[in-house]
Amino acid sequence: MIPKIIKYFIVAAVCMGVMAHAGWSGNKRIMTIRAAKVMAERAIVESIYGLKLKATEEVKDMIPTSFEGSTETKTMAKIKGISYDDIVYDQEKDIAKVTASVALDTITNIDGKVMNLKNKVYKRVGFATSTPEMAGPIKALRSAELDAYKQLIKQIVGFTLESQTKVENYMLKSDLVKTKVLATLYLAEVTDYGWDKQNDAFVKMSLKVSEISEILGETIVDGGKVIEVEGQGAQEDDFSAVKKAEKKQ
Amino acid sequence: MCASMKITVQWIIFVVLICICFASSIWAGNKAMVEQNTKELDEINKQAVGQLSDLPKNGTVKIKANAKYKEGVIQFDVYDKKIVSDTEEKEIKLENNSDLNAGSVKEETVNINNSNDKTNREKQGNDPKDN
Repeated sequence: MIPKIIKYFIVAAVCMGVMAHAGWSGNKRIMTIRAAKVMAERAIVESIYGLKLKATEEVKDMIPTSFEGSTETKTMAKIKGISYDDIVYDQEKDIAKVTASVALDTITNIDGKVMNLKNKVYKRVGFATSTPEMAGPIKALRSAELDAYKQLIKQIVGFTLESQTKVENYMLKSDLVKTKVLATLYLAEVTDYGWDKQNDAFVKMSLKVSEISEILGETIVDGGKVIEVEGQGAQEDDFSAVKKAEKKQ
Repeated sequence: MCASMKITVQWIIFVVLICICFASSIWAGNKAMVEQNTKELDEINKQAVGQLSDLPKNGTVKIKANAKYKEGVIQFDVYDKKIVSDTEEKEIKLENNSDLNAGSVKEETVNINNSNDKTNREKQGNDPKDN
């Protein structure tokens, strides 16, 4: 027979366990929403203050498995008055979505230029999760976002190309191709985002050159243009698997 | 197995094979994106190199260029280029052979060949010190 005290102790321990679990899930929810708020804040900073982007791409002998590409971004700014308009939390997936917005009169951007924003409302969405297994779609979306930034910079600022090419009977055969991008970008707006049927993410961005010209108070060549790009990001890394298999062979 | 069953099995195998072949192109992941990127890089490079006026029939071309989009078309500003022609090297070798017959120094002629520099060749060929 189990003594009464031990029985009480077991019942108390079970109760505490159940209550503690409820407490954890609450904490997880708050942490996920907080993380999504930070993501949305970063997006706002990237959109208004701007970001510095460095990207390289390299391919040898036109073999996709030799492809090496990297994109890095940096930004740091203090922005006051960000408000969170829409907070959604999916308990089943542990994913939070936060829409942040801000309206500023003026701001000094990443290049040190004063921009007259005239209290225009800028909105950006941030996603986050506390469960690593659920991070796939969010990571894919972020990589699509970075791809879109890179494409915008390529369109506006351009890029450098370094190559070594073999010519055989006047036929070009690429041997080594490298591209580099290093620039700052601001006032990029996200027009659409989502995931396709294959779970790959896409982010559509646009940049109104005329608006930038007005905000900066400078005349920009091709001022009437609206530059639109679509970035892509994958959830699944099937490329590394192919690369490894080829190395083994 | 009756004849109709055999035909059915053959059809199923055929359909499955077709599905496997076509499904690979719509698989998710970054492989397809990398392949697309590789193609784009190749096209960009061919476009940049193709604009050079002094392309050799056979050889190697090294370039460094700034690329900018203008009305959807990439414009290249090539700020560094090195063109090494294979045929030029062969021609120089023949010259070297004739020089060797005339008793010129072997090492010097090899250097001329590596540099591929016309002015150097002319200078060395007409150098009064050699005579």
